[in-house]
Amino acid sequence: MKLSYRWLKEYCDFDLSVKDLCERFTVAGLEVEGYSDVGDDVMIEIEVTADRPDQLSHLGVAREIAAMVGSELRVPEIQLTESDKPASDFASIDILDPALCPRYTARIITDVKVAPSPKWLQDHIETVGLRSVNNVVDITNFVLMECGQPLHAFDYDKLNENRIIVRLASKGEKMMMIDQTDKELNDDTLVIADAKRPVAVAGVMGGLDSEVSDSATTILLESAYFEPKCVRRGSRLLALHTDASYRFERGVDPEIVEWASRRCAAMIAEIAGGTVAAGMIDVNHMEPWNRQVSLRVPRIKRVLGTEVPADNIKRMMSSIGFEIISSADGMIEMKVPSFREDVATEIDVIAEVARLYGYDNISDQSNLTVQIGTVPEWEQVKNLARSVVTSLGYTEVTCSSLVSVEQASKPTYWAQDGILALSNPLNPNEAAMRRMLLPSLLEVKSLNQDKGTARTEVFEIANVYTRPELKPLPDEKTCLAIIGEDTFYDLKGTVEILLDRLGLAGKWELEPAQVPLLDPNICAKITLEGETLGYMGQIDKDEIADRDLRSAPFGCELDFDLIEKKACLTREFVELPKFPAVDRDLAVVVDEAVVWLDIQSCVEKTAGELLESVSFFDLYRGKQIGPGKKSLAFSLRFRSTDRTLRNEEVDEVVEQVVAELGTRFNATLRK
Amino acid sequence: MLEELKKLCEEARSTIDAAVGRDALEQLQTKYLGRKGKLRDAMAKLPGLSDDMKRQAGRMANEVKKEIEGLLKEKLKASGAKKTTTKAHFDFTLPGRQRTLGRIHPIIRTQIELCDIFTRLGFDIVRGPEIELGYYNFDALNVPKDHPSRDAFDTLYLDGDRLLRSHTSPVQIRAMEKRKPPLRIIAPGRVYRRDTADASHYPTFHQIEGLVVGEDVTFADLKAVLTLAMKELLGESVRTRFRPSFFPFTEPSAEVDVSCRFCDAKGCNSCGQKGWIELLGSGMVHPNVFKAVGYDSEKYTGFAFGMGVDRIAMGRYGIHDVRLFFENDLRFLNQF
Repeated sequence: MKLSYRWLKEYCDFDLSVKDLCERFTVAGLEVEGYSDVGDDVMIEIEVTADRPDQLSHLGVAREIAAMVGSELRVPEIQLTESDKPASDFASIDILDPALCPRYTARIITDVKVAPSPKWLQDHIETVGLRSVNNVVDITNFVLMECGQPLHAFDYDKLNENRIIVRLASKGEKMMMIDQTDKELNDDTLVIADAKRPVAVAGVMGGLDSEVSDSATTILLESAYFEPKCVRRGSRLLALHTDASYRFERGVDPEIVEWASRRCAAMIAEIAGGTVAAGMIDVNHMEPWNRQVSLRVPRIKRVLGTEVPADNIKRMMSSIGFEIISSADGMIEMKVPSFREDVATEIDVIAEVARLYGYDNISDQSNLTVQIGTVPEWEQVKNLARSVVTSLGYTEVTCSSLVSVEQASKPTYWAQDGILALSNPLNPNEAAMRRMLLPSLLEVKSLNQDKGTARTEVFEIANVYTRPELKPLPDEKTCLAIIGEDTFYDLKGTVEILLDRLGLAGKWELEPAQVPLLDPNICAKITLEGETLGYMGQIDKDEIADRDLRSAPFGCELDFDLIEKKACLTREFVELPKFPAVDRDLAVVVDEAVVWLDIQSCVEKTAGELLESVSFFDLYRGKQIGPGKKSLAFSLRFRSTDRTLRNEEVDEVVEQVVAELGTRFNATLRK
Repeated sequence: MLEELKKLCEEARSTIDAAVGRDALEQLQTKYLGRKGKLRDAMAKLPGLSDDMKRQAGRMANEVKKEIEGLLKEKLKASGAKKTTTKAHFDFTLPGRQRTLGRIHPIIRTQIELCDIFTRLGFDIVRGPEIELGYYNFDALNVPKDHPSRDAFDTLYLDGDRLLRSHTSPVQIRAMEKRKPPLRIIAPGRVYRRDTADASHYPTFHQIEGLVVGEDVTFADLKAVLTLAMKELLGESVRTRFRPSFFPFTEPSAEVDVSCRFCDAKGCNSCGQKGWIELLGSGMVHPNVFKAVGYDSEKYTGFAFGMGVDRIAMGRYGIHDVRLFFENDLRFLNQF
């Protein structure tokens, strides 16, 4: 909201420069966006919080200033001369929906000369960012900016049968607005209508046809109270946001309806001439404002941590319009002014006391007990995984959870059902929740490729969102996805180290798999104690082509919830061996189709207890061994727990192993 | 014999003295001290001498040997001549062979650091769903339907009553439903707003929510804890400012600003001349929120606070565009 520095001074005396005033505003809770010179005045722009609609006017802000500096608020005196003719002679008002419009008042001013506004009025209006239209319209805007009550002036002669009917529109009813837009109305839009057609959207904007133009001579001046939610609906539906609707939505002061009407009528008579009919036509279903709150003084210390003496409390609250009714035994009763709808209970009073006392003056000494916070295991596992994967050379990325509907709909490892699509997306690229992480990592690779970085080895730990039909909420599964360059075995090595570090060594296995996104020839499924942990392989050629990637990275995506569940972070010491080991290297030639795991199992089973470990170290294909064959080289380490082994013992075992490999796999020793 | 040995020694002395280069010196070593060297030749004559002569000659021969060895050693050391051509020159200015150092993402790093500060202050880390029900995101937090305060949270909706949480505050409600007071919790996580992506906004971002509830928790505790945390995060010289604001779920509410570390709140280019940077929202938990979770608001009071991790990360590292965090350009990520 825009304020005029000079205008504020009309309502209270204060000796603060603009800069100092702005600082005081900040301390009092009025956020200052900025200020700038306008002629010889200064326009100050403030942001008013949703709970303080009373600050949406110069009188409202001046009241705050008066309380700050200890001066008095000067509400303008109204000099109004009325004629003999009652306003009710001129028009009638019917409110068909009193719940939506609890009060509607109208004044009549005849023989008005509509003309450009005097300079002082134009300056006031323009300093606060409004456009000068004509004297009558400007005066209604002036009063709005002065006291916060939105008013509307109709050209009386344009109102059919001199009637005002406050009703809901019918579906399809149309109206041309003052801003020259044509609007189609709805059956939950409240309108001000005459006998034939709507002439304003209640609390939002008037119609073009009945606006006060140069030709108007008689004015019907509306000052009403509209129900906030109803004005909000109207404003949203028609996408019309005005100074009037902004205030009605937040709640205007119900007790100012009458004052504003008198003030406006008096100003019109003075500036535009004319005769004000006697009284107002007033259809009023509102209960008179009467709210009281009580404050238990000891609660101040309970909530704020600082004592504020009862006398200070009373003085501060009075200065902002609260009338003290009684004060005894640590209990203060006060009347809430009509413009402070936000103060409803004791806690609201405590908040006002804190604000007026000054947050800076409240203690900052704490008596909180000393205790240790818990880092839950799921967080520890996550941080350990991060630390391992970064140590192995991968950089962490964070990608948006939102993707296009098309991307989200692509098949995923984690679910077979539908997607979670936004009902109000901002753009089509962020319209659904992702169900897989790897595609996001491929986007990262693509971006880095464009920027000249060829190698992209990155990972992300984040949620994927599936099972939209699940009630009350869909499933959020934490996943870990990694992409790497070079070879499948490099990525596999990373996964091996990670799972080992998380205490899962020996608990996981690989199986063949055919899954989306991965090359069917270079792909495997990982299971952890029988449950699916995830998948890894080379990214499929089609995906690479679609994304214009110059190399085909290797990717894996793991169910991190499962890892968190099964991870074991405690480590136990294992005794170091007492006796030396004997090492042997072997290389066997087998058919292509033979897999290492089978060789390894056979070796382990045949060699028995004396075999401490078997480690693969080389795969060879070539002319020496012929087509359709491959050579697997591995080292064997033998060790006994109770003696030093002799070479003869080891030789015997090795012979058995070679024999068994020959029998089972037709394996021959490679010299 | 003794004369012979003396002459041999003199000869060795002068030839060694005149010798240049390692090769030459090595040759001399062979010439005088080798198996077929001159000293050996001389010693070969020893057996033909008298016992007394043998002893004297033997002693002298040893002395000569030691002297020649000494001279050779000294000359070799002094020459310091390197062997020519074939040996490679060690160039330590060539770049080292680096293993890759992976990095934790700067937002995650900031989040971990903030969580660490708060766990040291006794806060437990908790988590909650990103997809939420309207009840947890608004109603239980005292944000009524059809209220302008819902505007501030421009929400992304899914279907029916399900939406993407617009702040981490719903986790407070869930935590209070599961636990009895007193409690001290923080909840980091992703939140979503219907914001067009630009230099300071992104539809997905990260927040951390905090909540302290107990029998004697006051606004003074709020000030103390948040000031301590900000000093720990940004440095001892940083100052905090608490100014009145409005959130539907806290009363009184405060925005917490920190002083710009470049100008100490005087105003400069870094802070857009404002001097203060808004980092946290906070306040005393509204009794209506306690009512929603069944806590006795007469017995218990509490304070809550929330901060944008992305914003804090931008401030710390001097980053001016939030989109960089989600673009994941490795040239950016590898700077941290």
